[in-house]
Amino acid sequence: MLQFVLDQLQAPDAFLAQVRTLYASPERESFDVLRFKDGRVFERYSRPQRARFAIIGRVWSFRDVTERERGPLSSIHLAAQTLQRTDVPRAERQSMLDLITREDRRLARFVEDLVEITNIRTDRLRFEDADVDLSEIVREIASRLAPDRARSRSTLSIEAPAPVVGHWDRFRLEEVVDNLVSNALKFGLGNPIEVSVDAHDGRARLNVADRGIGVSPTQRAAIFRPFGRAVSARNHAGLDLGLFIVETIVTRYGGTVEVESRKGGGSCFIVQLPQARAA
Amino acid sequence: MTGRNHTVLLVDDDPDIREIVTLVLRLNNLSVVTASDGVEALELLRGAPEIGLVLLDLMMPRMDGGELLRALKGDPMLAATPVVVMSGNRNAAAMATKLGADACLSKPIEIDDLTGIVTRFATAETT
Repeated sequence: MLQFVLDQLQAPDAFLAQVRTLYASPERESFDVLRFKDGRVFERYSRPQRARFAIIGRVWSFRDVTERERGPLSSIHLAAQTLQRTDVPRAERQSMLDLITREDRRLARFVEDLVEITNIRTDRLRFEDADVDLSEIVREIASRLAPDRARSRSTLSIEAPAPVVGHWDRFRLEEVVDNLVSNALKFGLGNPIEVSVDAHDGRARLNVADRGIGVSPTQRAAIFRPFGRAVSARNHAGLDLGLFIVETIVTRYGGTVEVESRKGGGSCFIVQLPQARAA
Repeated sequence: MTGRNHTVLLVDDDPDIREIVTLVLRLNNLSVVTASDGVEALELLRGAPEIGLVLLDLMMPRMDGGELLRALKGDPMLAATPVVVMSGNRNAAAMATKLGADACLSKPIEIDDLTGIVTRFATAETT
């Protein structure tokens, strides 16, 4: 079985080294992106299989994500070739330009996720902390996500009446907010989304609530795993790392992320972050 | 030579692919209907005899491309409808043959390949 996979991989030695490391460290959770010789791209996730307190084996999951890369590439490729024709009517021309812009963002997300997963896996996620205002970040991300909001048909209301300043890495906080709001737009079924920011006792709190498909209790653990996803999402961008990245960043600051949700009744993600510099 | 254009059924779960391929085919004066998975595609095929070609993505939720091909080949009314598979796999041609498809388009799709293949299958000469 292992030999069958190794024969098809572009970098079999690196994968074999990982397998050896994992079998030497049964308690480790591990994830990766694998490229096959035939062009396919797979997410790979592996965790120990436990029975009560004992580890009795290892669970391996693979998912083909080739289309997340080839889909946007195909759209851009076709649109760019068609735009070279001189007889494309104005409306169609504009549709194609809009599509190229959207697909460019999907591809960028895919590449960013590839970089991010390598950084997290090798413990090289960089943090350059300074005083930043979470309320301002929320407003900026909301503005940046305006095209996604328009496509989702959800309205987005923000309640952030006062600055909530903490000692954080601005880019990482943007990732937290972007992933949570993007998630709400993706699974919010076009219903209103509410975001609020406040602070109590030295802890900032960010709530992102939607009225979408919700998450059942059995799905809660899975959505925070790398490549975790409760349902199939069409036109997906990136590698399903969103909530895993959120939890990785929030935990790094000694904070928490929780989800309150009922299947069919929407979700509310609650992030709490200490505002002060970590000791 | 005169030709009669059949309707093309495009089956892909990616709405952006559906949008761009539809735009391209309509600019080439072809009529297009779309479905986002195999279940929708089967419903359309059973209700629309004018469909003369299926452009089929392989990876889709509910009913994927391989399952739809099997359903088509098992239905005497639809078994003769030509199917062109669209895939990002470098072995797409071999896969298409194995699945019983008539041809394949590799993603990223070249516009000449798309228009060429659609012209070949969806334009029937009138007598």
